[in-house]
Amino acid sequence: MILSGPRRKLVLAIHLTVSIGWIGAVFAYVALGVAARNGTDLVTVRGAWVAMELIGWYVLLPLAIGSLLTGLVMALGTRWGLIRYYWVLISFALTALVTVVLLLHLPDVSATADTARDAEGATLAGLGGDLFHSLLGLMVLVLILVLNIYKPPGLTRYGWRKQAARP
Amino acid sequence: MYRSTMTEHGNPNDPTGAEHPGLPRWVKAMAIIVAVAVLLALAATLIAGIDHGPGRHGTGPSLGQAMPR
Repeated sequence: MILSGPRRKLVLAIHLTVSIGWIGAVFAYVALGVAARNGTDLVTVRGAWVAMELIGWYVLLPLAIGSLLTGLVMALGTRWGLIRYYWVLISFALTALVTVVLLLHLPDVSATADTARDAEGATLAGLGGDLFHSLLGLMVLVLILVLNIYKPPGLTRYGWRKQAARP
Repeated sequence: MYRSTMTEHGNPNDPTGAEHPGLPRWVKAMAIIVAVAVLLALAATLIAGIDHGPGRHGTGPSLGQAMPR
């Protein structure tokens, strides 16, 4: 089903809001991660981990799911389709991958935040900042953003057949 | 990249030819970059002996406990 003009614009507005918001939230998460990793003040380290847990569950995860769902609606509701163009297919696959990794990783963030709440001294200072996951995730999200802006050419075999069969 | 792809395979968004032109160059390049990155990450994990994966790199006693509770 192809979305009508106003509905398409509404879904696009929601999709852009949650997707760009997701990238912004990852930047905030990275800043907290840097503070947790480099912080000499133990209160800062503890506070950063608690905030990372909250951002993870209540900002990153909802925005990730929102981006995935609105992206799916945009793909299926427009002429682009989900599996007609390589850039759409790859963008969706990467978004789904990042969302699954986030979902699998958040319990570990909670566990570390729980440790940070009770730990003191060297244990607290040695918790690190979870920068590997957040920076890698940020790189993938920026790659998806670039794909969505440039829309590089290339029809999949399915898209090729569909377009060739069109009158 | 777009022009060279067009020269080799015709317009990749216009199926006027009978056969599918195959993967675009940018997809191949991306696949190679991702494969190299994954191999490097695997090598680094093996060399450093990092036990990485869901539930394997938490530090707290309540590992695996989810936030919404």
